[in-house]
Amino acid sequence: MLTYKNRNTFLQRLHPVSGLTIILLYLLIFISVNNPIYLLLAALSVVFLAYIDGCMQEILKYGKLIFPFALLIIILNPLMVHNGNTVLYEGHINFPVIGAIRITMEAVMFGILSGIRVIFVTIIFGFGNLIIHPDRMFAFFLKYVKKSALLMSMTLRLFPAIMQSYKNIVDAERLRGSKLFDKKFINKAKSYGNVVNILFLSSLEDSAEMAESMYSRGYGMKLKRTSYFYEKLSFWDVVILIYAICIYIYIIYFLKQGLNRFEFYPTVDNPLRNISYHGILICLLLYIPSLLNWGWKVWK
Amino acid sequence: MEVINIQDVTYWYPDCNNRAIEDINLKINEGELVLITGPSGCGKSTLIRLINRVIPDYYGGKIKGNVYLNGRDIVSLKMDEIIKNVGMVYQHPEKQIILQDVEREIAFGLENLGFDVNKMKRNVCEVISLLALNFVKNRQTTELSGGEKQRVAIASVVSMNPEIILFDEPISQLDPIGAEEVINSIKKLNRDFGKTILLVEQRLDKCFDIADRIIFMEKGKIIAEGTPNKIPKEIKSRYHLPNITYIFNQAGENFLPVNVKQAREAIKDRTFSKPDIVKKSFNESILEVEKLSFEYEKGLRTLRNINFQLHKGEILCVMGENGAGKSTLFKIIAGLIKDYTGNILISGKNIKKFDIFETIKKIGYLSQNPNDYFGRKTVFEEVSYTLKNIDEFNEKRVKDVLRLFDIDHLKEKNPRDLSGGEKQRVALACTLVADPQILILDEPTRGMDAVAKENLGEIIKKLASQGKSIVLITHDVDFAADYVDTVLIMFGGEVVARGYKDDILCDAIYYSPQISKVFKNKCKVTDSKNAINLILKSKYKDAGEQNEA
Repeated sequence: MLTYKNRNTFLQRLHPVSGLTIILLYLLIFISVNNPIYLLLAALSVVFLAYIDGCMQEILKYGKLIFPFALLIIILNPLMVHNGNTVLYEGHINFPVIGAIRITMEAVMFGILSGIRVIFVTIIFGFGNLIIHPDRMFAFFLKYVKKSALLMSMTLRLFPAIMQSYKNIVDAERLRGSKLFDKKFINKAKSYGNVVNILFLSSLEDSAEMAESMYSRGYGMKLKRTSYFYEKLSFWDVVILIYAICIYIYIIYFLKQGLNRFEFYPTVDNPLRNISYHGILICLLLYIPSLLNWGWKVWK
Repeated sequence: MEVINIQDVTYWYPDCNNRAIEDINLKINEGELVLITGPSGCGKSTLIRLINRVIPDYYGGKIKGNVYLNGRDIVSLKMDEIIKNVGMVYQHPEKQIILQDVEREIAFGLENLGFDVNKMKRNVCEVISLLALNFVKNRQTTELSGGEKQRVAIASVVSMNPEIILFDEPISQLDPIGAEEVINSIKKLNRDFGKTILLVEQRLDKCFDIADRIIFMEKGKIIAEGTPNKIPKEIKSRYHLPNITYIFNQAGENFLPVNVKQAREAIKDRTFSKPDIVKKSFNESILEVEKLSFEYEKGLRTLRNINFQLHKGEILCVMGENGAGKSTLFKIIAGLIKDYTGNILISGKNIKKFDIFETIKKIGYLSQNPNDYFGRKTVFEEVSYTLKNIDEFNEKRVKDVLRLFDIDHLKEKNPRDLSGGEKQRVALACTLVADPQILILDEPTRGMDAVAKENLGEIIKKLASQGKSIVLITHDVDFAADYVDTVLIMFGGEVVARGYKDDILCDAIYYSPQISKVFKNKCKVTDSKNAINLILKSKYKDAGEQNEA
């Protein structure tokens, strides 16, 4: 579930560096771009790319997984942030921590955009998980960033095991009367805290056993580790890398020129008014990998 | 030629005053297959970790004495020299596999040791053929069965071509088929390839007869040595012997068989009276399952038209291959899965009408991994947790349950610091503290030694005598045969057999305990106690006939 499975697709056959470059490109866009229209266009291009690659359902599951957290951001932001000129509601009772409630259109919009951004970032991480083979990535990056590569690879491999463990713990807690499905948020949060605590302790114990197994097979013993498979750049890797470098440069130009301007406070900007030709062009260029993927699929 | 020599070794784990092993002296010859056995916590695993210097290098602690590898003091060797000579396979298949591809996983150790690509390719390809892993080599390690994973772990070690391979309970977590596959691989490595093997194991029925030599340990010390056909007289404990050997030993026999074939040979000329089998009669039905069907995915039916009843005081064993639907069936009954069709009635009431608190009072479900339960700081808090959740906390009740499972002396300890058997008992106490009418135990004997199993069996019997109904989902046929009343066999989501254990297990081809196989065509017997009585009686009968003659 939600992990790399061999599907022998265009993106999966790419060199790990090329796969990672695409993912980082999207990450850059989802983190730096402010106009919701650009963000939606970029997200649509990811969904389209995943559709052609045959993993659309999986990436949407990632979105579903993070949705409650995004919802929390959407709800909390207007309650906590009182800035903004367009007041939608103003209360008179002083609550502890948050003070008197003052909900503004700007805070609502900022909350929505932040929630959407969290969903998109999660989706793109999930997409990376589905298109980059963790072992290939581990073998390649091990030469440069030894321990981090191992950590990254093992995290990806252990994800299904952790998910299974999470399910089992939730089942055990339910059968012990834990208030996981209680109507009160506090009870629910406390119960899920217990689940996370058990999951953390179990994962820690498991990792100690795994580390011993690695140690007894000589991991970290030699300074130079050899590689069973050699990764070579293919023609399509070169195409993707050149494409990505061009887009990176274009995005930097776009940001430097101030075309990313979109203000929420004191009054939220109209996203349609802030649209620029360069922004639209960048978004359209993001559909090129989808076209390459489609072309490869048709003519392979 | 002697390849391992352990001289006067005593070891203390860090921050621990007790000796984990004490005054160990052991010599292992080249090409030997040595089995090390003993109860949980006796120091078996610690002992073999001395040989690849994981103890003390990885664990720390204090060590006294010397370990020699091929005549050289292990302290003077570089770690990569040790690793090239000594490989180690661990207990849990999931926790020793690092990578996702089978082929890459097998090459992991070779990459670490800096082998060149050609050598790696050759070793990997040879090991894949040697361990018959061709059919899984293109699959991902997450998709493999337990037995396949364990064989991949063995392959990953064998690819480095070590002369000595250490196995730390390699079959304890596997089902019978997986265990058989792994034991066959170990035999092959020793017999056909001359590898020196040290095997630590508690499931002795599977491996006792393949050993050249057996080391018996207790409380950190080697108490005796023997061979399968020459077991020292002082070795009588259940955890030191395979079940069949233990039975013949208890019956006072001079010849101690170590497998079914030898046992059948030993009794071939004897006649046996009909065993005293008392079939418990059950009156009050507590659980009724009617026309139960379930599918995880549309069109993929996991359970089909299941019908059965469970009675008050009944101990039911549920067996079947992996994926037969056993755990799914009882997760539905425990209220963890909802969207099924059919009816499940407990004491005449449909479980769909129960809220979670009612379910907890009716059904206790113990999952396979006790660690899934432990998040509190002490055993006492852990056992109290369920009662606090259902607002029925009662200190006396918690203490009673702790006493019942003989864990009251552990009440201030962290449950995660306990041994496997103790953890299982704490998890069981957590389940039973709510006083459910039905107790469902999913693979409760996995990883337990013979004594822990015996204790669990006695607890189960005691609970049944108090009117609890127990469901045991297990692959451990021999354990089930000793303690259960009835058996249900599942296959492909259907119930294919249901009845009293003697009727089902004696006629079974595969799901038959070793005892039944020994007495096959002579008399119907499934449990150890009856088997001991039968052998004893037949011995006296034979002696009487000889006197008369």
